[in-house]
Amino acid sequence: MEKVVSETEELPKAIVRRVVKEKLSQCSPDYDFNVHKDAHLAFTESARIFIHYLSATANDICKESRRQTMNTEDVFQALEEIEFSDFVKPLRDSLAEFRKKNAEKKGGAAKENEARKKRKIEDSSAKNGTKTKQKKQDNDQEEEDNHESE
Amino acid sequence: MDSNKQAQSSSYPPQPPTSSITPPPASAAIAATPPAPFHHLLQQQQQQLQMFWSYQRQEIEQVNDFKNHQLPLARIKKIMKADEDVRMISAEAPILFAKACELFILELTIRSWLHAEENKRRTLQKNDIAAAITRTDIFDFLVDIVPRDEIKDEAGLGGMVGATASGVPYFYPPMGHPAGGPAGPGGMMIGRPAIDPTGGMYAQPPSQAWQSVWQTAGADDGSYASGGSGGQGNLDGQG
Repeated sequence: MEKVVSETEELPKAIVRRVVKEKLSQCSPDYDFNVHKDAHLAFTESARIFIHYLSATANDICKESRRQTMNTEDVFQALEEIEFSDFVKPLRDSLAEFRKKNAEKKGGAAKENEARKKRKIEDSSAKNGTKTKQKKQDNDQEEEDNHESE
Repeated sequence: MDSNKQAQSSSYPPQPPTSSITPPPASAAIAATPPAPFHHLLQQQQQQLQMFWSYQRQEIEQVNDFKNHQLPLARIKKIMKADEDVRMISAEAPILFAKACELFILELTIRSWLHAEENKRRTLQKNDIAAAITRTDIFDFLVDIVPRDEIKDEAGLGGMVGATASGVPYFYPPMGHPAGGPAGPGGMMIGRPAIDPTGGMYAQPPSQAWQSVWQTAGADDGSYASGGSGGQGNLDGQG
């Protein structure tokens, strides 16, 4: 089979292969299965076309609502339209979980950013060096404490 | 029996149907029609599909590590943007696509495997996938991506990968479309030569935007198997 170098973005073969093999290992109780190379290519290609199909449908829906940006609701509606409604519930759960995790991450990250900014300010004013070092440190400590209690 | 319970443990691998399993109503209707030998296979298929979905829901509820996305979001975004019609995408959309893609691959795998099993094979082949696509209505959009073996591939095309290298599914070219259809003869026409090209296949794409994917992709390079930076080299590094 000739090797084709293409401009088309493809899904990572290794990941697709892994997904297929994991599923087959569930389907085949004694792990007695094999996948032909051509079949792996077919999976990868089919998945890519699926993305196009879903994307185009969602995009249509988005445009009908006179919006510029395709959002998650467009995608859910698209799934219904292309008759993949079985996907909707698992995807909604997935998205909810992602949003939750993201919110948690943001909360933690925000605090870190604040602390980092404070340290920067302290460092730069220390370089200017108008106060004695000791006094500065005391003042800074106070400031920090005040901030943290907010 | 284990297979009746929700997949809480390794009982997911569907057990062969036994008389103690009550088939869902749908398959009872189906069971009436097909010849006897396939009855148990369809029943099995129903069960497997049901268990597959309940397992999926469970999996999502239990394990949701978004650091290791199965499919790279950037890549997915690029694929989406190959369609010029698609402009702006919200940050969360690729995440949905990644998961949807995974579910899609899983479903295609199961159905293809069933076909392999019917033919008493342990190796999943491309024509198993083709069969699954033919059997499943919602996979109609793939019908020319994975052709069945009865229809011989044109010599030297090396299967559908070559033909879709430029991202233009070859079911458009016969329409003499400016979609930069193959510069060469309709030799790229791997799908269903028997079908009237103008009338059939994707004469009615699901949506207008869908059609434009092929147009723009084709217009870009005007030929198949276009050269360019090889995506191939990177792929296996992923995941």
